[in-house]
Amino acid sequence: MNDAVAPLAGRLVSDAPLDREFEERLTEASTLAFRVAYGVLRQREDAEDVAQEAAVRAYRGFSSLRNRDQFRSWLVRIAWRLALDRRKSERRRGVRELRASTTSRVHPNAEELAAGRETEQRVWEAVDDLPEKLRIVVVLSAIEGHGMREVARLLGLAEGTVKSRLHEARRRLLEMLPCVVSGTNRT
Amino acid sequence: MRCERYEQDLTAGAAGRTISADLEAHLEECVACRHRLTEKRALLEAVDQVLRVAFDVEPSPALRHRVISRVAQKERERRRMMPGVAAAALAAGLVIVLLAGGRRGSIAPLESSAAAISPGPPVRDVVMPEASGKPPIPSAPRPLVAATPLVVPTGSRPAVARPAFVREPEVLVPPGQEAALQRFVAVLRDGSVPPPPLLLSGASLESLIAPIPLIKIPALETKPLADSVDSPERSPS
Repeated sequence: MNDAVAPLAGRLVSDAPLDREFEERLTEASTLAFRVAYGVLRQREDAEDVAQEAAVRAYRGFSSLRNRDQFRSWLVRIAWRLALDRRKSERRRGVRELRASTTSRVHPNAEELAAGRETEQRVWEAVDDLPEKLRIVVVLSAIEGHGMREVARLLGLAEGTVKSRLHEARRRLLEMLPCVVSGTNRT
Repeated sequence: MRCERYEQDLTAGAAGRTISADLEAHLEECVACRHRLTEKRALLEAVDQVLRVAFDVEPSPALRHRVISRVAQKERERRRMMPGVAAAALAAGLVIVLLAGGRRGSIAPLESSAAAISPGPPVRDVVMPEASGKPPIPSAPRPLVAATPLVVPTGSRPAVARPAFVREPEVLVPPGQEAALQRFVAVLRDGSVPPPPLLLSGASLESLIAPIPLIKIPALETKPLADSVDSPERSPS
């Protein structure tokens, strides 16, 4: 939402109006695509790579996109799907676990940071354990302060459906995270 | 014991669902459950905070440039590859056609002395099939264009033996005429309907399809296609 439309040094293959429109829309939505991918992958480089790949795919289908005003939500869904696919393939190769263990050893002596990281990690694990249709709602709600209406628009769902899914997701998170966040432990 | 039965309702209420009147009444009098509801809400707030902080990540400043560059690069690669792919597909198609043609030819070699019917363009004679009994209009000697015969059985004509295997003539079809030609060939094969005017080229037809009145028509005037404005295909007349 807060993406600034900035002039780009790189240009597409042509100066055709369709290409220019694509470029404008992509500029406006690329950060959101990156963040959505980051919500799945939690690695900046991977998320950027996915955002780029999503843009390539979006370009190929842009001319056949009936309602171009839905480009933003279309790109989000492409990025989400690509990110999920990438994470699946990485998990098969065991890459992500290796990266996670490497990251956790960066600050071995900073206890507070370690506690924060542990909390964050457990929250993410809980989010990852949510069914896909609930997870995307949680992720989009947390990005850029999206309200339910905007999430519904991005997902092409009714607002009531999004509300219901968000409540269900939060209920499940509460069940999965009974006492992980400091200061909320039950005695 | 009584508080435990509200556990799920508390969780749902903390997650945003409507709190039932029953739970509301219980919360009025139960400090412990009010505290747990507050805890759960705080927990979710903490989760939200973790996610908000995590998603406050900014892509590198060059992302937008890199995204556009990658799209452009991939598109250039795709366009570069397209002629190669098209050529490969064309070559593959030609190979298939040649192989298929060679196989058909080897199954049933055809006699070149038989009559030839070709709906191709270098035709100057129009054959109008009419009711049997009328004498054919003699025509000038015609060049034999196609060496492969196509014997055409028709309902109203004397029975003509159709070979077990008929090799199709190879025909150059003008653009937009494929459907008409296919209908034409279908009518010829069917034989139940009198065929439409037949474009013929070749000799010795009288022995196979008789009587066939022949009407001579003048040669077609053609212009070079290089000039798109004067092209006969685009000409309104």
